[in-house]
Amino acid sequence: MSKVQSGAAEGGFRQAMAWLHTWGGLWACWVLFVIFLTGSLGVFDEPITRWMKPHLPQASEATGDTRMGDGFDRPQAVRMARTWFEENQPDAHFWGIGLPSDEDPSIRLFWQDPQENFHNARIDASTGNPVDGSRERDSEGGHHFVHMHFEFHGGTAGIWFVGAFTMAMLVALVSGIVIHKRIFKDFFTFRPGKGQRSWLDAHNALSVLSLPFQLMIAYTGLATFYALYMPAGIAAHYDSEEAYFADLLAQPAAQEITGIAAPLAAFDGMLLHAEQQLQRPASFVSIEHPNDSSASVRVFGRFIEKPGEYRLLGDGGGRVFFNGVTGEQSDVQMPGELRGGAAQDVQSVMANLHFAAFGGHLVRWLYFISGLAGAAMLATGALLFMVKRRQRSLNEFGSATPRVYRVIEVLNVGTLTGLTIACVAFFWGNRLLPLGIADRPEWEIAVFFAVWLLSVVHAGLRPVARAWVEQLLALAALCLLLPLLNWLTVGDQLFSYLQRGDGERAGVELVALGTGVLSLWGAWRLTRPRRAPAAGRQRAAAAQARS
Amino acid sequence: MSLTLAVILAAALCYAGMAGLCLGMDRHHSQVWKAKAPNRQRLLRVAGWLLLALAVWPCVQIWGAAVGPVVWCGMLSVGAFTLVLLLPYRPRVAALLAAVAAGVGLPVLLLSAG
Repeated sequence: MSKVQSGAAEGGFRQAMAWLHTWGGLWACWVLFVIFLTGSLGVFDEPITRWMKPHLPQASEATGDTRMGDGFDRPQAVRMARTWFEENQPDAHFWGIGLPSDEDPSIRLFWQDPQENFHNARIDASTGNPVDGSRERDSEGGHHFVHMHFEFHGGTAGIWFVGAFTMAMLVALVSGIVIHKRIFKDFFTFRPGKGQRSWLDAHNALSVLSLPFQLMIAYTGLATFYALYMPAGIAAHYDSEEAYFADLLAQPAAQEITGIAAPLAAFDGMLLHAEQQLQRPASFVSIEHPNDSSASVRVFGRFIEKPGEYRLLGDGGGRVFFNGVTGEQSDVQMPGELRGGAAQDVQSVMANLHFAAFGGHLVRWLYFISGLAGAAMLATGALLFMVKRRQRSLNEFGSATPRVYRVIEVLNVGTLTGLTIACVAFFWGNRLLPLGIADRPEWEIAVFFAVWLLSVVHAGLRPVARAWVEQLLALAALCLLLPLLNWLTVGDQLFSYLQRGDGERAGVELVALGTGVLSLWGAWRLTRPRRAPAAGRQRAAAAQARS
Repeated sequence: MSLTLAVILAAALCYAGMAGLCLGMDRHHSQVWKAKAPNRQRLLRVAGWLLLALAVWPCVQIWGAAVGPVVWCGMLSVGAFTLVLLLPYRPRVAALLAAVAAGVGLPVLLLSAG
């Protein structure tokens, strides 16, 4: 191939990539913005959960107590849980017991009924009676954001949905690198106040400066669900995914229900045996097929995040498997023990890299910042698309072009500010919904979706410039008044948290306040008087682009 | 080395390193200094790379050889973001801050390593 030809081909390639980046990025950017914003919030799911559940104790400095005697009688807890299950759910196919700890001093019960539906309840660890939840703030807490992030509350279909958009993200990242002609020359370039130029600068700087994170987080997100996204190899060799994992990790295979009744062995004996083996307190006990001859019991060791010891692999709490009927140990996996070979280890490292739980608070903050940078990259990209076309329509859709542009504008407002408003509204819902109502956590999530929908409708009814300002102001109000709402409903706020040294709950309100100030600033930027036309065509265009 | 010190050191060195690389470029050099100065720009670039490399040390000290480089990558982004947000509005402050970060960070790094 001659030089001239390859040069032309390169230009064509770059143009093709520019088309791919623009349109491939556009259709995916709103969903990806949701994934990035909720994922960033999900990094702090535990602090958010604690803020939403004021009855939970403050996070202790040294998380994950290794001492056996931490003040909770775990053998008694499993006996109480069993009594409750035998009396209330003898026919369930699965029982799960969350053991009391500093994080939650009650016993949490989970079960799967014969119709395969999951349920949960809590009992008091000292009396064995059901916890009276009517005075507590029952809530999904920060897990709501995590579930939005990876499945949009849509189960397996949701995971596929998110996976498809993550692929689109990778395509947009790679095509973006190809079309960015001056990555290194423009590495530090940001020229504010210049309209379209500034949006492009911001989009480039946000993407380039956090590119390692963006590539890593998209790829490891896909790698986490490899067994779901690439099922063919497993399906060709195994009856089920469980059989594959049991074989891979050399664990006892799942048993079919036999229908032959057989009483379970004593739980407390298995628990004590497991804790002695693992040399740490247990956190969870699960029972498959209780009171069937196929019953099996697993005891999980507590996950311990040791300050000063950070690793990407082998940080599990360990687990011990028992035959549920005889009570004999069938397998033990020690804390930190690796199984499944090098490929499985690589996959575990990738999953751990994605989950941000490997390096303490600082790593969480770095992920939070980088995730928000990703969200901002998507937001600036979406805005840039319209800023470019607001000056002069490119007529991509013939006579329908204005209508398509209008839809894009509405989706921009309804997602960028609308979703953010919905996220804050979720916190408001937690404080304002009455206590003791049935399915309270679901109602909180309903508030989230309802407010998001309202924001989209609002964006659709208002002129776009007004919609931006109004939603930014609404967002600012919800964020800045959150500590006040907390003080009125629960009696706590930023300062009382800080006084008690509760950095997690204080952090939630500080982030809210910061967001509020930023959106107030954004609203002010959009409404301040325009510069006089004499100031030059470029400035006027910039001001117009900003509106 | 304490966690807090490591975080501050890594952030300071990453910011100063990024500022060095940035101000060594013609376009950004002219935001702070009027005249081109090829020698100073070369020095800034070399110092920039060196500071970024040195920032690995506090990260590995606290987070170990596996997690340390991950933290370093995150710190690089944070340092660069800070610079890019500050530079167009207050170029001289950005340069001064980098000088302080390097000037204080380097001796502290040497003391804590020794």
